[in-house]
Amino acid sequence: MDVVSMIPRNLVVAYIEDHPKAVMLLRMARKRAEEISGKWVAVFVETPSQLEQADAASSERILQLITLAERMGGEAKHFEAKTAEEGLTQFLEKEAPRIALVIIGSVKSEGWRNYMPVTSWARLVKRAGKYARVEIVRLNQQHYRRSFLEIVNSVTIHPMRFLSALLAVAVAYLAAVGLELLLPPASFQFNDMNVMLLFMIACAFAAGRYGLLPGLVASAASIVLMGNSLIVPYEAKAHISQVTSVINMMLFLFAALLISLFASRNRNYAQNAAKREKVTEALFSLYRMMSETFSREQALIKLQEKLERMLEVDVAFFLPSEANAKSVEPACPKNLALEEADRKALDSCWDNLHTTGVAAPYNPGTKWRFEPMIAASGEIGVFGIRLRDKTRLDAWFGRMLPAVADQTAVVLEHLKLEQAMGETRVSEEREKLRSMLLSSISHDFKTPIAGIVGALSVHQSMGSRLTEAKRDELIEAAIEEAQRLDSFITNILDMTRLESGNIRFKQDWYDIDGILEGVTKRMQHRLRNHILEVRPNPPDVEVYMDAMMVGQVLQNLLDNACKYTPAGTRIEISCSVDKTQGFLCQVRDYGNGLSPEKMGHIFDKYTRLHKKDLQVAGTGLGLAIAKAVMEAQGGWVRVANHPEGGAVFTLCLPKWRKVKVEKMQGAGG
Amino acid sequence: MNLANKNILVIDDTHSILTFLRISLESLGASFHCAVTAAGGMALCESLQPDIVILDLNLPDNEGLKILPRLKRINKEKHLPVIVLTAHKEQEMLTMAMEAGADAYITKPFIVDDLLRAMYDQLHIRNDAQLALV
Repeated sequence: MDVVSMIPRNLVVAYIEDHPKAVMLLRMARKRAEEISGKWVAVFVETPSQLEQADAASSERILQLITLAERMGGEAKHFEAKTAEEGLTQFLEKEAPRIALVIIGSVKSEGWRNYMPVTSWARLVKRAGKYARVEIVRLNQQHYRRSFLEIVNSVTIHPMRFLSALLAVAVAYLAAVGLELLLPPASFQFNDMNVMLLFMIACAFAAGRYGLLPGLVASAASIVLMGNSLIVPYEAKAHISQVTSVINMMLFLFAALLISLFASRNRNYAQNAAKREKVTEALFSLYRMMSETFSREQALIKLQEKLERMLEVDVAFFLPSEANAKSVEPACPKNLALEEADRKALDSCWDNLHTTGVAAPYNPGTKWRFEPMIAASGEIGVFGIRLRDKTRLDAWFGRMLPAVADQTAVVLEHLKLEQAMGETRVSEEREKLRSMLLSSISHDFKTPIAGIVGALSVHQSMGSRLTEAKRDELIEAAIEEAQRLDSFITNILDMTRLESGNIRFKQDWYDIDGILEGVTKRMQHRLRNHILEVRPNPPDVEVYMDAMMVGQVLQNLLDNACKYTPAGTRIEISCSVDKTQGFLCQVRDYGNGLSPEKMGHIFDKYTRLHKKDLQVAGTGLGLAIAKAVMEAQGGWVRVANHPEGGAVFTLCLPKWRKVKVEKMQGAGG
Repeated sequence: MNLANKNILVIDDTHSILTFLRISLESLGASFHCAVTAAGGMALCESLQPDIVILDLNLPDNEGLKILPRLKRINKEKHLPVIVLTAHKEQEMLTMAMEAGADAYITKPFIVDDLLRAMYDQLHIRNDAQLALV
């Protein structure tokens, strides 16, 4: 058994052209492939002449055929070759052992081609026949035709290129003149040969550099200039006849045209290849970068911007709306308005997860083309592009779009997973903090309770053996701890209410003296180891506040001062009025003051959790409550170290007033 | 006076607990000594050579748990019973305390009789509730 026969011949090849009945070829290829249970492939060869002439409609049709072929279960191949025969031959040669059948459409010839001895499809059939059996499908219709006007309209004019081409010719002319002037007549004979060569170089340069049309313009300009330089100055010489001159010029024109044609083709090839390579490379780098950074919104904006620049099309992303996952909404740009037909194509794309819109088998004839974005976890959204006038649609482009859509889906899925992971991390952190807080609070509660239970148990078991003084000491210790417990509970309840917004401030005009009196009385026992000094307050001043809550804040500040300063030190309270800030009340202690690190976080909730001073019992809420209460009344609380040592807490209440003298007099009298 | 001549060291930072322990232990004839920090407790333990130590684990920075093994090593010839106090009831904490060398473990809050019972156990004094009142 020889090796070749081991490869099954089960490939059906359909050669596709931009033809109204080309779908017939696809259907036939599928049918034949099914018959031999093989595969089929649609081959499309793009030639330079097509590249030059292709209009938007034609590219759309080709892309549609290619997309359709893939949807029908076939494979689409797209080549660039100098001629259709060459492209097809290349493919057939490579795949020869597998090919069972080649399907070629016979096109009704049109125009002058009708009079050619062999039509183009017949040449293809002859070529293909060398590799496999050929089946001819009669396509009883002519090719698409475009009017001359349409062709002219499809050409983009770049004025700068024409100018540059003319400049090249001008340089050639100047060179000719320059050579004649510079070199002695004996050593250099200026004739039509060297002048022509100079102009030829200029034409070749223009065609190769700027394209076919500028090349042709350069040729025309050269003819005009040569007419001047060859005919006029050399008329007197008479040895070159007018006829020779004209023939020479005709030959020149022909050569220049040929050069322009070939040079511009090569230019097109090179440019296309370079552009594709650049876009592909940029796409890869883009996705590499994308998967490393950005939130979903940022990623989409970045992606849209880059893709629009690279593909030269308008780009949009559509994601399922939060309210209704069954439909997609524009996610980037957000305010994109779609026309009725485009909206339908978009919905169809999302519902059925297939390509719709321009040059697609479904919902064609719209402005947009939609590709579903599908990742491993399922469909993510829809990727849409709107073609601009000069967008080249070919198989490469058509195949790149789903690839972009899929890549985007992967990026979005990645970001989604990352976000989910982040959320889990945050909730874990929160849970950890919560359990730390609970354990801290339970410890804070248990310590005073331990004191109470212990003291009372001693009183109970051994009370009869203790002196009166010792029994009193036990009861006092129990009371102190009970008060401490009460203030913990008050603080926690206050904080909860402040946080939930359930606290109602009852603000009115109050005299600060009355409030201070109440607080110092309540704190008397707690302050027994410190020296409290209340400085005289500014007279005749009333402050707008919630007296009870401000009293609580002052109590917290005093409690704090007791906790953190050594026994026997002083604590001072003083009040003043500041014209710009409002009514100020300061609590100063004579302790060690605060480290800059503590200073920044002292008003945070549960600050104590982050510190090591667990020996001081408390919920770590007192100052957080002070801050919340003051801010809720439009004021503030701040802390600073006094230059002479100790910490100073300042409360500010913005609204205050002088009590009217009449009232004072009245009160006095 | 079944705690007569016993040197008792309490390391705790809560004022009320120190108060009731001082009153109760002194009334049972013990010599009461206290420290409010881990470092102070270590120093006092070295100089005093107490018969028993009552140690609060909830000292700042978990110092209580850190000094526990060091307390046990101060006098290698003599066994020093250490009773630990803590507000934590978790098994984890108990295991850690026992591994660090604690001899008994009492969770806060507690009544004084529970502590006395544990102390009598450790000091091999006849465990009789009546004794406390003698």
